[in-house]
Amino acid sequence: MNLQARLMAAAAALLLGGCSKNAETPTSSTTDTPTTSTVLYAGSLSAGGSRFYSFTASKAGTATVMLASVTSPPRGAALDTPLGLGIGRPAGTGCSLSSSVTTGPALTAQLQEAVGAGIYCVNVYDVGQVSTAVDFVVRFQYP
Amino acid sequence: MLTPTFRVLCALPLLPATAGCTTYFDTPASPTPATVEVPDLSTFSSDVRKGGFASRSFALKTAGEIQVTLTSVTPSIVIGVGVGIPQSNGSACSLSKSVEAAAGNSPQLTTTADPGSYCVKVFDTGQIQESASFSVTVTHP
Repeated sequence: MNLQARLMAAAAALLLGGCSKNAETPTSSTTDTPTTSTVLYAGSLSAGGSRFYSFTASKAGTATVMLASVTSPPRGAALDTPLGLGIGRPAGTGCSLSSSVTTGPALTAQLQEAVGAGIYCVNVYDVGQVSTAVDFVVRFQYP
Repeated sequence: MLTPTFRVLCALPLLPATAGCTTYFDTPASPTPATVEVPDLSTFSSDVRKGGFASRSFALKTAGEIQVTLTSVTPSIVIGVGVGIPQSNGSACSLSKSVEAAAGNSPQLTTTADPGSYCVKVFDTGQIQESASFSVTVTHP
């Protein structure tokens, strides 16, 4: 190979090889997929009342529970009424709590619990502050 | 010995090769500026009829503070304004916090929130005779 041919080959190699990273296609996706489920649980609670909602965690992770709203029907003005909020396992016709908190409504989670795969429940209950029925909304997320 | 024509032909492929790859080898002349989080600001204007309400949803990408400012109400009356969580079917906004307020320039309502979907709601507290028009500004991360 003469000098001109060698220089041509070197230039072609630089042209084709120098930018190969630009053309690479990933061999596997790095896109994150959602791993939690979000549920809004809305209901009404009367004096002395208790309500719960069961859910199934598909794998281990953290469940978070937010008492997002407590309002007075029918107009829907926000109330500061504290309610009991708990998470546990269904037991008979109720929910056997593993952790609980008494809290007013907020838009940040008031309760977190490490869970494994299995069936759990979120419980909302009067702690003696409800005189006339209130509406509530709980948002919870679980793996 | 290279002919002048061949010198040109040889140099041509080098130009796109070096130009196309400069981003790989460039060293920034100055540090990349830090990302500055600018809060979202949205204005919601509508009417509320006697005994009624109006609401609008918004989303927080990150946890932070929500500020709600009722900037105008016509006629000049006190009405309810609140922030809460939208029902999944979009039919309602269940309030977490609410106040009765007249229009003003500073936030009448401030709260912190986790990432997620939220809503602002403006509602009659009994002073609307027929209807009232309003504007409310919501600032959030």
